[in-house]
Amino acid sequence: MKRFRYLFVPVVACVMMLSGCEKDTPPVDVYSSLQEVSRLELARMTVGKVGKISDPLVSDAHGFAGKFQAVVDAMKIGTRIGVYSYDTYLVAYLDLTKLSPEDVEVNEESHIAKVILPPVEIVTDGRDPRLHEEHYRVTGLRSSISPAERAALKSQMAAEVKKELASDKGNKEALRKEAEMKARAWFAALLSDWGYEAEIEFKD
Amino acid sequence: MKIFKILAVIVVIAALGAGVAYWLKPKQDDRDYDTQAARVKTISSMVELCTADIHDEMPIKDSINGKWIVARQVLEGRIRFDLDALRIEERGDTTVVYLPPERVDVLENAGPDAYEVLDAWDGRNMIFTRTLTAAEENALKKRWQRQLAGKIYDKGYVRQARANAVKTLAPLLSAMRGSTSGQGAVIVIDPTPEGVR
Repeated sequence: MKRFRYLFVPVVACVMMLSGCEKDTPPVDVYSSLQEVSRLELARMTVGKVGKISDPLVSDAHGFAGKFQAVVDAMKIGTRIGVYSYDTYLVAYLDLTKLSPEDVEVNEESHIAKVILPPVEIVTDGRDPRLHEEHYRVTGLRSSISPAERAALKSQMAAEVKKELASDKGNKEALRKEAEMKARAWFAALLSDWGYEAEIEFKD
Repeated sequence: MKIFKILAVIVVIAALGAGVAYWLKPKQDDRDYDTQAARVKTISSMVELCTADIHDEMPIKDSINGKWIVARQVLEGRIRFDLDALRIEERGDTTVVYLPPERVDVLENAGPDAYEVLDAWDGRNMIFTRTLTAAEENALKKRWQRQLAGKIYDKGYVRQARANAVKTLAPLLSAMRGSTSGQGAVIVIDPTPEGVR
């Protein structure tokens, strides 16, 4: 009986450890944060990007492994093409924390309100999590396009979008102008309701 | 006859060599996919106050139609208020402004590393396995977006964002109204401090 008593503790410990292994662990927050902001958002730009997953030609493949894979793919029976797209969103806004009381001047006698707004800033809001499948043709003995391949394509497209937007001054300027127009119209309407004529300017 | 035997041996050796080379081949360099240049689809205007940015990065294990995926995703949540729908009432000298219902937007971070698939498998079939389709993956992503939106309410971020909106709007509208130069006061009222799910 004594021998069994010595065995009891390790057996219970093992059972507890094994039951712990089977238990479904909830998703763990790796990183989660909240930041308080005061953005008056005035214009949004939607940017689309399209990409294709297919077997590269031997001449287009990079490196030995890539060229080897391209030769192997060329010998397989069937076709393997997927075309995907997604949208990225940019927002033009005024940072209201940069608006000080001195920037608003109301003259009761002339009924003129002068407002000097902070400059319009532009931020990338995010992208559509979904990847839209525009075309899919996998035939013969070819394997389906995997989620990992779609994620790799989206990653490459995101890097390209970032570069393209950084160099695209024209469209960003158009977004800025749209935001400034909307700000002028909204503040003018609000002040007009209170009986003021608005003079809206932007800081440099 | 002898020449055919020699040829057959050469073919077999070549096939074996090719098989071994394929098996031992180094990891393929990063693929360079064909893409088109990004193009602007729309530019639209609005007046929205954004008072909270939520950044969330988490590993996910989920399934749909018996197909499983393990991934890491970085999501961005924003809490916004449509100021075009601002309700303003004049009560004597006082202007009363009602904070509109919030909108919780959840998008994927726009960076290249915002979504990574760590594993994907068919939980039902060991042979003739099925691959997770784009439509199924999109349905899962929609689910993860909804989960984060729910978490934003549960953690009290909406309450915090609504309080921040009142704190931002009150001085802004008071200054515009001329309250600082003797005109009537502006009061911003939040009819639903906990938000509207």
